[in-house]
Amino acid sequence: MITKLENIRNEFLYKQYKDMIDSMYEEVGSAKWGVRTKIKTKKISLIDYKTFNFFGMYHKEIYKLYLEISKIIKEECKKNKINFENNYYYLLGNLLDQSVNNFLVTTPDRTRLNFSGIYVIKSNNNKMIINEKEIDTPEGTLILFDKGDIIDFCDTINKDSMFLYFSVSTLQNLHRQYYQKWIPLV
Amino acid sequence: MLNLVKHIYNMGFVGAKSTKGFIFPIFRKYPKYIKGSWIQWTLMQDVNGNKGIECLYLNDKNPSGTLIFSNFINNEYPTSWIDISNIQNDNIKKCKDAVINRVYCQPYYRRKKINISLAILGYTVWWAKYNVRVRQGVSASKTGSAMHKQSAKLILALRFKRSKNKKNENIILGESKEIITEPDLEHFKDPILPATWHSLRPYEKNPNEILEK
Repeated sequence: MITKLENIRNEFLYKQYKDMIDSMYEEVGSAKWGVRTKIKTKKISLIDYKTFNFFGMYHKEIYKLYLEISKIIKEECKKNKINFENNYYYLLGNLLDQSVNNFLVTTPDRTRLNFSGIYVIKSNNNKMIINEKEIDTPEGTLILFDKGDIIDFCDTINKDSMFLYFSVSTLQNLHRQYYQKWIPLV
Repeated sequence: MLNLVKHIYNMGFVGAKSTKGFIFPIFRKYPKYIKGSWIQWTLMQDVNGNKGIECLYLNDKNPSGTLIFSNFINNEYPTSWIDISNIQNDNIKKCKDAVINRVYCQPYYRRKKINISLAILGYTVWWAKYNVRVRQGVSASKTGSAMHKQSAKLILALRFKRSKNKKNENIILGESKEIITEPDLEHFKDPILPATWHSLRPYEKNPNEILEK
């Protein structure tokens, strides 16, 4: 399912996100006290792949995107006769890296109750192929994948673009996932 | 012979030792074939099953050679994984016993000796960290049994070199499977259900489709 979201300011989100990521570090160290105090510090990144969730960052546009995804998932659940409330859905978002350009990819097998998709924050106007069908990827495009979709990103992901991959999973399927990584979808 | 020596050198081990009657390779360094990777082990003995998994990732999220022992699995799909099942207590040897179940490597990284490096390293680490001795199961896939045979050959090559007269009865070479069994005909990408990886994964044609052609 392809939807175009009009109410999210993607360019603003892209710039702000970059600034947020650049500032996510701390300098930790110790001091040698004396007449001339010397401070030695080490730069430590605050981004940890074990805890990072795009939707866990506070930002107006991210909040709006969260609400849009929630709305779409609820509609999809209604269409497929899935009880949204009783499945306790959780959400995770990560930016896609260039390695997915190398080969054809597919969605996880267990997607009858789970959902996954992408949202285009910044586009380089390249096209991607889903099930042998060419798809345009302008900014603001939200694509919700179906089970077993075969996706060819065809160089859509590079330095000039930013694609968000999101997973929506039932509580049951989060077994052995890091506890602090996922956020509830309401 | 020179090729075998080079192969063993790249695997990172220099000898073999016997512990409780089982033979294990002695590693001197991280295998060259999997340089740039890191590995995560997860033992899953709970109400949902009695299994374990080792996942190898070829990315820069951890420094090369990092070994992680965790109660959790990552969100990303691994470059290669091997899972073990049926972990049971061996009261005589005072250790645990398990069988190798499935072996998987992403198509893009195949034929680069990643699986066999992970298998031999994993065999040693399961023992050293969790006291689990991994052996070949009856229902192993063709790939699994071929890999087991190859790893056993490599370890035995070192052992025989060190003590010619000693017989090594605890490493069984295993049999090469001629018949393609059910596990060979499907890409099994979720071996540790209900736990699963929540990310895009490489697509490859089903072996059934390839055979039909």
